[in-house]
Amino acid sequence: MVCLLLTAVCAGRAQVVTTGNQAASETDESAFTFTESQLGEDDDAIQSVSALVSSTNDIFLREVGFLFSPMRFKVRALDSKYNDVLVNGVLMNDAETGRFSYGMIGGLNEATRNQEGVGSFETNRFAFIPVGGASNINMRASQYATGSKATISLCNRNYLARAMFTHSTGLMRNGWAFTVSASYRWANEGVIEGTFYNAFGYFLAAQKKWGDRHSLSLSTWGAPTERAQQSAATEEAFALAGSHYYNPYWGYQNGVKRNARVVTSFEPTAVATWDFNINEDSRLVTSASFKYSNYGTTALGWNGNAADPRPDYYKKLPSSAYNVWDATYRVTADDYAAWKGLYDTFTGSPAGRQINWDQLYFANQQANAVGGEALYYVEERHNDQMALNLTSTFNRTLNRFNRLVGGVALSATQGMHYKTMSDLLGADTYIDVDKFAARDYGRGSDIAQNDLNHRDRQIYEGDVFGYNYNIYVNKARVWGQYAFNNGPLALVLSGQVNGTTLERFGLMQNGRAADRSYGSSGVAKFLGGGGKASFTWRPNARNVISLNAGYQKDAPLAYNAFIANRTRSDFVHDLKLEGVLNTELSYALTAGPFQGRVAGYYIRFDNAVEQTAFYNDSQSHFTYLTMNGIERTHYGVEAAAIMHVTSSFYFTFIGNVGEALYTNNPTAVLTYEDASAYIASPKNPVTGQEEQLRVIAEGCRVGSTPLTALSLGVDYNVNGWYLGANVNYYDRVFIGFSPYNRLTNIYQANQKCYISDGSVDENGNPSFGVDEATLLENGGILYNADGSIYKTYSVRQRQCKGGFMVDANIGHNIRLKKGRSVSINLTVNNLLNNTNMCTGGYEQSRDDLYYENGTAGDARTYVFSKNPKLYYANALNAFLNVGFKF
Amino acid sequence: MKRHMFSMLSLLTTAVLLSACSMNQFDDLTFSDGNYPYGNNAIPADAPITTIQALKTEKYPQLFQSSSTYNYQYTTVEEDLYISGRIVSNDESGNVYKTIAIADETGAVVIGVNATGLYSFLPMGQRVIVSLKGLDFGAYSNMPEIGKAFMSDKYGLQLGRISQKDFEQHVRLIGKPEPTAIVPEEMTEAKLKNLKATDYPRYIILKDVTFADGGRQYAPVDNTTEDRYVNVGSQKIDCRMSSYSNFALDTIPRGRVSVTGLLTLYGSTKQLLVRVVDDIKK
Repeated sequence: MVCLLLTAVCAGRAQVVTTGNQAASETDESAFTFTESQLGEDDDAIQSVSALVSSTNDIFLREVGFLFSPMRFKVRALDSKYNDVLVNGVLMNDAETGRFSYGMIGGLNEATRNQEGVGSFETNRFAFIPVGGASNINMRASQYATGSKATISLCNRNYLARAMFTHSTGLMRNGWAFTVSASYRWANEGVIEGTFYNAFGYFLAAQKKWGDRHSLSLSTWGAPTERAQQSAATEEAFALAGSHYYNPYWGYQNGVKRNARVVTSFEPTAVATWDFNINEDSRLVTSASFKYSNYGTTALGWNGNAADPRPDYYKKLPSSAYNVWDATYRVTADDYAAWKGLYDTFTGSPAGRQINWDQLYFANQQANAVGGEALYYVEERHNDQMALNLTSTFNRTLNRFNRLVGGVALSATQGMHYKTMSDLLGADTYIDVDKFAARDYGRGSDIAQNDLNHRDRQIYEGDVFGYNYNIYVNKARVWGQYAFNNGPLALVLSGQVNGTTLERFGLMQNGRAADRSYGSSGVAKFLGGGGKASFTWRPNARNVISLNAGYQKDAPLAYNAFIANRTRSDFVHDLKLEGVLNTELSYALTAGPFQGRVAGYYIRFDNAVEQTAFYNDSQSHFTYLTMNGIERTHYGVEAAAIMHVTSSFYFTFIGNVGEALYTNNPTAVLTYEDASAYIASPKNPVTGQEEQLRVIAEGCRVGSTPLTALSLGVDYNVNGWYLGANVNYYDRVFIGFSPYNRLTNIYQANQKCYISDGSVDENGNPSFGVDEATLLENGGILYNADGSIYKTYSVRQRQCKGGFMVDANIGHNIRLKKGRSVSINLTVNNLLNNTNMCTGGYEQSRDDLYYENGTAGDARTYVFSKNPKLYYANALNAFLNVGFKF
Repeated sequence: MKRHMFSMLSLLTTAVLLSACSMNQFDDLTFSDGNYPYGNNAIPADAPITTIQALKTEKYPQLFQSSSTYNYQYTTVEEDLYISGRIVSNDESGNVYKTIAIADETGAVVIGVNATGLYSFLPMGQRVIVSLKGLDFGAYSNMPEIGKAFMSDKYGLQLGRISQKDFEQHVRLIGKPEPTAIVPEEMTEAKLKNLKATDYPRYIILKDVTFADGGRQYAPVDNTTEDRYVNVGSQKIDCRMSSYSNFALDTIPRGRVSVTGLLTLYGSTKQLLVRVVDDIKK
């Protein structure tokens, strides 16, 4: 729909299309820079990355990926699972997490250049588009420009240098076409200290055409990658380290920097496509794909009662010495000495705030000497996957006004989740027992065993231990789309029906769930579907108004469907289809040198499920928290405009001001990985009856994306030179909220439940003996005298400060003889070196109290609620790209 | 077919190349005496050693001559004094907490260190030299202890724990840990009766004794320390069992057992600190 409008809008402005292509190439670049860079503390879950739709039709979508990516902007605050990426019509998103893994095509910028991006309501020829839009990458060998292209890039980002080479034969007379592409990206140490980057990429494609009707193509690619990660840290740690880019993941080993968190990924994929042009009006595209992805992340592990080796563990931070937030606290000489000791260690030298690998090896050497087990080790957590997809899409043009598209998509996925012993750090032995359960239930207990089928198994490097299970996801979808267009009026109707099955198959019999961990969980089945309609009215060539609406229900993701997938096969109770209501009203105007579009959107999610997994320091348990029945509303305004002063000099504006709110208090399941029982429900403070455990989420916002993002740019092209600059403003970035800290039982433990005494205040409202400011800051639940809930307040969610960032770019194309050309581009991001732009982060999932037998006791010295972990946007960085076509 | 072979070969080659060129390869480290990455290697291995008993009874005898039931006198060591011995403590189970104990042929002493997981660097049988200059030494509720004074809200200045960083400056590890080199002293009812304050702490074994609470769990209630008494003839020795220990929920054996541990003094109460569950043997 929008496509239709903007096809019209875009017509006759070749200049803009040129810059569009340029932007697209930069978009590719940014995408790879930031999507791979940030992983959360729980590294199974890639922190949401921006949904990137490089739409060629919508100015906003075309520019947004490139412009706002340094701040990890999410279009309409939507998680990337609502954005589909397809190759030749086959969906490439991970069926378990719902997200597309950009690492799969890392470094293959040339091979993935042919993209068709569409917004949720745009007509298209390849799929039923989800709420976050979709991109279809065309990887048919004949679609690449004939000839060769070599590119060398230098930058100061995750990697420092990149080389790419692509060659395509084009479609030869014999009907064959071949394209090959290879790349290498490298950094001994990237812009973040202690990170390295080592990534190859290859792409091979062949296509054979028989006449005008049939074509077969086969494309295969992969990007074996090894890269070290960056961690979020608290503001205190940043301040003491003197940088917002302090990275606690690395440390010195014998004088050499070593990172504890290394991602190794390789996702070789092949797609075979049969294009069948049945006749002039009908076309059938059938594709099959196979992927075998290997994805592993290493992390430090520690055993027995060995001390936490993480250099930014809270006990190593000075504010753990005494409550620095309490102005009334009387600081003793001893408090100060303790504070000073920690301060001096952390600030004294880089080694004092990084991992001490030498000591970890030494501890193991000592353990060997007394016949003990490894005290420290590096484990690798694997999320491997095998996926088979089959897609067939039929396009039929009925006449000048009517077109039909329909298709079927089938997929079978086997996810393989386990951890291996990556490095024993010199230790002789490690036994596969859960140390937390061993502490609580005894070393010899059944409960402590990770696999009752292999008790006390000796683990050597490379061995699987801890957990091992498969997740099976099967999906089928049938969809259709009807488009009507007679000029002033256009209508698009689409619909889909989908079926999903989910199953966990445990390969270990875990002692914490002896009867519910080994073998099949049983199969959960979901039948979903939905439809949408898009109506466009174009009263004249200048104005276009479009009204779009849709509703659909989709199965929950396997990633969120189990209450503790590492140890047990229990599904989240009462799993339902997630509903999405998606509406949009837009207006586009073309008036001489001006084109613009403004859109208002309102998206409502119901019955959503979200899981977080974290180590719960308060209770010393690895914990899963699943929220179910979440309702969320995203709404806002998007605007984009281009104003041409001359044909080669123009201004571009894009902006989004939106809101993304949790609107209810979803139910919660809390599960400790090392305990055999679930956590008891809280009791109503008035009636004493058990209540459903809930998360007081109402009023919280989707975090780690600017809800306000505005950009004003200027571009000038002359004699093959391209100059551009943008001023970007970001605000209202919220820190991802911790559901744990907002659980009703945590509220009770922290005395945040208030009961009405029956009296009313001067405004006639019931009185609860607490002021509004306290409730807004700390959260609270207000109970009526009969025990029903009057109102709930969520703990205040931290917000980052807004600010400006400036980007600039310059490029030049030089045409040489025999059709050869050289292009040089330099992009500088964050030109003013604003190092205070927080892109988000997460609250630490533990509260501020000590516990005794489940009841809250004294306040802890270290105030977790005031110490969220944060990420900052990169400082000034540049990207120089030199391309040679021949 | 050719094409297929080509793809497969490229794929394999790339994979091989990657693994061959991994940037995350590190060789294991081993450390030899004098180069240990824990403690202070600048402390001379041949430093003049004062025996632990001499420290208590010859260097600072006045600290332990108090008539008070609860003696907290201490002093800061201002001369170059070194003691040496082997580690007889073990905080692996969590029953021993933020404490190490070293013993030489003459006696033993406790050092309070503000750190957990001390056993990972200082396992049982590790010989150490401790440089006492700058540390505080004295009585903590009558028992000789090395530490650092701190201001207690209730009791004023008294001995407390040394920070981990500070402690590392005062200790040097010598040789490899030899768990078999430490032998507990067999303690009898008669010997128990004749111990003076300066005789504590001691690394001991009680043989053929019974627990009063045999059959019950060591420390079933969260955040508490249970007093589990051992009957040594007519004497009762208090075994302190922390709920934080990893054997808190294990069952105390019934009948005759031998119990190894650190005999400590609190006021006038003798306490036996069991280190790991294996300290209690049928």
